[in-house]
Amino acid sequence: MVSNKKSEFEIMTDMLIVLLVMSAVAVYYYGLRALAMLVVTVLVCCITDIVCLKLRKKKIDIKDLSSLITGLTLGLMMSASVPYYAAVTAALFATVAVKHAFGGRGCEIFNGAAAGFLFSALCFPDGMLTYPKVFTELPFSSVVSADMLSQSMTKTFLLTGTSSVSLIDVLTGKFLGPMGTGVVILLVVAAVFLMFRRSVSAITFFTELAAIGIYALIYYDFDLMSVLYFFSSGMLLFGMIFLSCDYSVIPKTRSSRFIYGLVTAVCVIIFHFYSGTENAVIYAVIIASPIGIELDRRALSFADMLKGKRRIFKRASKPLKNINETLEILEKNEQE
Amino acid sequence: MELLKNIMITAFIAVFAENTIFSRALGTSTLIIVARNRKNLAGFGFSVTYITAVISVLTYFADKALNANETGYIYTPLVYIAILGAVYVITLLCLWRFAPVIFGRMKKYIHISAFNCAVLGSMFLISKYCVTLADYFIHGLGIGLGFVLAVYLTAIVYDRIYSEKAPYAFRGYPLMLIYIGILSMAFWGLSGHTLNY
Amino acid sequence: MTGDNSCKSIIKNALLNKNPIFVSGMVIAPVIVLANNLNDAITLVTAFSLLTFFTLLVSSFIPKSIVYTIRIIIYTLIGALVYVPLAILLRYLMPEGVEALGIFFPLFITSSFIISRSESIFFRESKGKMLLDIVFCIIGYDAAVLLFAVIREILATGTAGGNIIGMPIVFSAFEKPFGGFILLGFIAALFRSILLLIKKIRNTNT
Repeated sequence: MVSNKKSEFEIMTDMLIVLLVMSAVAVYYYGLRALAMLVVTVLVCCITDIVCLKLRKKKIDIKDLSSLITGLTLGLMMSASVPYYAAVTAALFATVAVKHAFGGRGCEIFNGAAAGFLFSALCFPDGMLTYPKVFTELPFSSVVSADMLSQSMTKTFLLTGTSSVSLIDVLTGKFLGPMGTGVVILLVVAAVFLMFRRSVSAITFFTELAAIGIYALIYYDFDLMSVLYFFSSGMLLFGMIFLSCDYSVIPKTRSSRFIYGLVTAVCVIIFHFYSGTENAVIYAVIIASPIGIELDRRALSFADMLKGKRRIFKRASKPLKNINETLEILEKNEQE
Repeated sequence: MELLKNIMITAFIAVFAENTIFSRALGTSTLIIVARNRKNLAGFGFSVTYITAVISVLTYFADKALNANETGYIYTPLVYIAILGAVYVITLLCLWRFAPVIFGRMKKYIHISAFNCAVLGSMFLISKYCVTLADYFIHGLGIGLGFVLAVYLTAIVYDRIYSEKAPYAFRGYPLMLIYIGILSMAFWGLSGHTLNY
Repeated sequence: MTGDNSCKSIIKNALLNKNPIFVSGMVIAPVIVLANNLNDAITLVTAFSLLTFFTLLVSSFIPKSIVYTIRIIIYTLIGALVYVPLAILLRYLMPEGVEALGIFFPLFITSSFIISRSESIFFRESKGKMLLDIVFCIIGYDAAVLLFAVIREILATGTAGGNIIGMPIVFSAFEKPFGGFILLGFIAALFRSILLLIKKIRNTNT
């Protein structure tokens, strides 16, 4: 029922390796300003994390890479031309409001990167949702002049239903969009790598892929090219791997992971169908994550109902790691 | 088919895009009280949905009478409260007469499901946006369901929000506000799509 | 808390320990949606204070022997009756402000102040203390709303009461309802930690 074969540290190192490779590609495409952006988000996340831990009088854990991962994910989701203050806002929000207010690592309800990005995008829509072309020389100043920027390929695709980007460019991510979320080849490799290393839940990922894939096929009349555009645009593939399968918010039992994937997919579909927002996956991840918590609880009580109370004692006797804090709380509730 | 599609879209807007809590914050105080107890959730949800559905039909006829009068807006709350009170009393009497078991269970929280900002607000909202009787009914039903959805989404994380692990300054009420805020940020994507984002 | 009935504790509870906005979360819907600048907040506070005060005042004459089911209807009906002259008066005094309040003005009738506060005030022994409780609860609410509106206006638009002050960055998201939720959450947390700090300092002094 519970897949706790890997320690949290191993999962985080796997994630970090993949994110670093993707950051390298982003820096290659967008130059040094992309690097500066990533440094800003990572630094702000880490420093805020340390300050919050100090304020809450908690020990600083060297093995805690979660703020690094949040910072890198956040950086990759941004456009390379985002003003620095927008990036700082997103990182601050992700660390303070989403992570530490809820009790720090292991107690988050939402994915920090998703909520931080959304907050910043709603604060500064002009700066966050315009994108520079690949391989343009970007100035280091905070605000990049508007004539170097244009709306994303996603927006064009949503408005017109077609896109002029060629197949090779889509696969290598050379289109108008966030820094590191469009490189389809790399994302597929990353997904396979993470799934083989058991760092990302294959059940959730494939459930989402299948449900959204079927919807996209029907919506675009079985035009494979459009489906590919659909998946590469709007951070969909990236969000499915790094946001919805994030270890801190994903449910811990298998059946609930399946349903969680389904819920996320349905949310993506609803947002795409009704509202036509650019980054449907971010909204979907935020709405689905509290439901994931509830699913865990339901699955546990269901399993207990089937197999009697013996399992609870068995599980409780194992040393519980940080990632299983949810289970701990849940079991306490059950016993009460 | 066209009718079905229209009904679907109206219901969708009422439940998600114009959710009473997430986009209008109506009835937040009630939510904070109700989300404490998961056991009453089903009963509460049922009674709220029932009341909003019934009063939405009555609101339609009340609005017709009120709109004929030029100074009707001053008496609108009076008429609405009278409707609400009548529905409330009749429901309680019916339950008491025909289903005493359910009455015993419901009487604790039926007053909070009838007299709250979400229900009274739904009457004002539907009279502002709706034209036909069917519109009124579907919107009323949808607002009730949307409110229940919001309460449910808050109740499922209640133990997290009040857990010992959350810092003392945030534990409880402040965290609940932040939680609702982040969720409504996501729901804003549905209602605010006429905006840039 | 109802046992503790001295005047000082009533005032302290109403203003600080049980502040309606920052601690108890009463009637926060209009605050979150509307109080995004000082001018709107003033209208909101005026309408709320007058409506709630007169409704509670009249409600206190309702005998307690009537069952709660009926009493709650009477309270709200009184609220709706008080609304009638008040709506006429405020529309005459500040027409634009009332327009901005929209549906939230009549919604004060079913606010939790009238629904549940009207219950708790019956525990007070005398009319004088009850009046004191009502007045200071309303003052606590008003002060909190005005403070919140000023902070929100500065953060969201970089102005204070309509005058531009030099803010380098403005967070326009705080103007929207979700921003109101988040900001109120943070201010409530801040308020609580300040109260805790005051208590600590007082304990070390005595």
